[in-house]
Amino acid sequence: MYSKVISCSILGINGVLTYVEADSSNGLPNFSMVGNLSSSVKEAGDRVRTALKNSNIDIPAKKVTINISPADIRKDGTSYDLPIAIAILKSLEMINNRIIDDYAFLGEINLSGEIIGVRGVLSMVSQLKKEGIKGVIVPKDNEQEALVIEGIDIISSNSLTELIDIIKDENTFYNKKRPERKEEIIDNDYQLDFKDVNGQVALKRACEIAVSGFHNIIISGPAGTGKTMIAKRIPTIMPELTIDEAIEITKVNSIAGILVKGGTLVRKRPFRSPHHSISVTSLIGGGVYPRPGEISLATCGVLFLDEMPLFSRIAIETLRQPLEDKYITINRLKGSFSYPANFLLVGAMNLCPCGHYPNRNKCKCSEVAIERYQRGISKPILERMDICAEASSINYSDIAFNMPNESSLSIRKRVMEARKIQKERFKNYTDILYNGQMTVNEIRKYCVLNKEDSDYLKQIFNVKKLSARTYHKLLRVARTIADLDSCEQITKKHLSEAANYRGLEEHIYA
Amino acid sequence: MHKNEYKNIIKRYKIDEENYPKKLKNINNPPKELYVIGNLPDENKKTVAIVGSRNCSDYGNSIAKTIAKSLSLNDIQVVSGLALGIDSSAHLGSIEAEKETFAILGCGVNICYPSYNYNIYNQIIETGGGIISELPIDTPPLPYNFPLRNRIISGLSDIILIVEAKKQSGALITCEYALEQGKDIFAIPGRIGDILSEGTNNLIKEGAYIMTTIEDIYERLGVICDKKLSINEKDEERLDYFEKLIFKNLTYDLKHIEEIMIATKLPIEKCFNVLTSLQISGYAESPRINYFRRTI
Repeated sequence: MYSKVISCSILGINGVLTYVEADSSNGLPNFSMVGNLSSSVKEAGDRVRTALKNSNIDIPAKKVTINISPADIRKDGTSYDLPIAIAILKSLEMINNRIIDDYAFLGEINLSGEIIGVRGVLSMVSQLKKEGIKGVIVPKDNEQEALVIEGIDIISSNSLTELIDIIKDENTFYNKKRPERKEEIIDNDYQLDFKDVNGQVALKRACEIAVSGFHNIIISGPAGTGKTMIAKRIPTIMPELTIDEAIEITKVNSIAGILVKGGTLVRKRPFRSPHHSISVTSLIGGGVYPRPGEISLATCGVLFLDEMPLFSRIAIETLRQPLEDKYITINRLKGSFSYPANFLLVGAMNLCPCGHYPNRNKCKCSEVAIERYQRGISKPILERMDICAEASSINYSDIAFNMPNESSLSIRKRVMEARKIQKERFKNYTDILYNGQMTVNEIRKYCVLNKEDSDYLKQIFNVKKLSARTYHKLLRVARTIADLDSCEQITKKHLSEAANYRGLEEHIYA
Repeated sequence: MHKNEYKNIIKRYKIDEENYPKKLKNINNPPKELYVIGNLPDENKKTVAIVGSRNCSDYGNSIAKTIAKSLSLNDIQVVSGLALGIDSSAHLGSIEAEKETFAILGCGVNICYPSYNYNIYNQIIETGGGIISELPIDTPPLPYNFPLRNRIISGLSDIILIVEAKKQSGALITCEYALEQGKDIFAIPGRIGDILSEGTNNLIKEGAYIMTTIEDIYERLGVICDKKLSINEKDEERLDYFEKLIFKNLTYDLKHIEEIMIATKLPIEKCFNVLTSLQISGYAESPRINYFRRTI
């Protein structure tokens, strides 16, 4: 008999409705699986048959054929085990009711018949809901993740025997108590705070502006001055996640398989700080069956590249397109996949190989070595950094004196005010949300200067020998500073502050 | 980097020729012949050699550049060795003033060593200065030739100015030759414990002239300087209260915004605002991000 069970595949970050079909007929006993399957899916046949046997279900010797359709999408992962098992049972007429037709099945099965959690449940459940599917049966491990999506019936189980008992009878099935969404402990405590950082007020201010307007920032300076310490605290001054952002982060985490077991919505902004030996593929995503890379895992949060000149040139250059588009498309033989990449880029670098420059009493690097080191970052990447700040070498007095430092909370308040203004400003735009994303057109529209201030900017321009590109950067940053100041009009004081965060590329590539 | 394009304009002066610099004839072990691209220094003009450390500080760079520029504007020729650091800054200062400057090389004149200074090499020729060497064309930069060329640097000059030098710096070799040749040595003092000023401070201890303002050099040369581009007191009266407060805190050495902020107790935004206007009015400059100093 022929049977068909609803399931779901992952393509990029989204789910795709998939059907698992089974047919059993008389003939020489045989078990075959088709439908553009990867080896982890092909192995499902062995796993499922053994698991059924160990769940005390006898499978008669018949010719069984499994197809997973649509057959033109490459199937990967282990989430097809459960729908295959159910499809076999139905084709052998062991269970036959409406539930199997109406509900989707996701889950991996091990040989003893336990149902184990899989990757990408959030994306798949949300797709299934969109497709109008009534409900989903998921592994117990993924229950809380699936429950994030409201308006779709979720049933969970951790053993095949138990599950079969539930779905055999429609009455038990519909009367069964549904799992409840656990009271969320909103864990958005980063355990870090800007008040731990003594001194470096200039850097903190630069970070505040960077976060407010979503400007990429690069921090340079001698070793041991707290560049990394400050960068790690940047997520703490970002506004709280909206539900859409949280779902997006959770989806990516789930697909990458880094969601905590039994985990639900991610409530913290990600802070990804890959090592500088990272490959292109791990940075932007990829692989034979593509998985999201660091830039996608950092979406809605911070991608921190420490010791930026040491990263491979090719890896850094690949960031150019996602920095503009806010997503990354990976093309492979099996298809092209898009992942979100809406991250704030934070870079940090020493200024010379030994790390002591500009203190020439300690730094003995030759001028050529220093320049070569600094040119480890290409000009086009530096040009995408709106804000550049250099850390000062720290004095003992700065560390020792416990001067009251501003807490992350109070900085965040100002950031949120500035974001509110931007939300209002860009309400009619779909691709622009923050000042940092403004192109020349928006700059002309929203960064209008009066005569006096425009003359002042001209003076800055001449004295600092700015290029046309830095001119726009300066205006973008000035817009954010004015927003932080709750000023409609950009004035002299905003421009004169913004002038000090100008491009590092002009120093390095003078 | 081999420069063949200049090969056919290289001039050669033998020691017995008339055009051979008279100043060099008087020194011990004068070069037998000189190869020159461009010109030789004008014998009727005063000449100052500016030398110093290759790995110098920002401060050293800007001092060397400013002094060279000021000397050039007052028609005094600047001689140096085209090395990185102080030497390059000295040449650049003269080039900025669009005046001639002379580089003495330790390799053939058609070779730009270090090749990093290729731009300066070209600009020296373009601004009417000269690239000079006693070594035949195509001689590679060999280490033992460099100390020897220092005697030509000092020989061609009336005064030798050491900007920054470590305890055992090549610049000090130039000083030894200068002493031998009876030239005046000026050194710029540094702080105690500053490695880059150990050499210059020792020179002062041993009796070199101290240069604290550029007038010291003019006075020694007997030149009246009319075009001032000076390490002068800026007119503070034109500044407003905050500008004055911050300007008083600036020095000729770079200061981080943090230090300025702590010293003036002003909020960071205000510091940035004032510093930008000081830069516009020419009182301050910011050669590195977040670092500021007085314009010299």
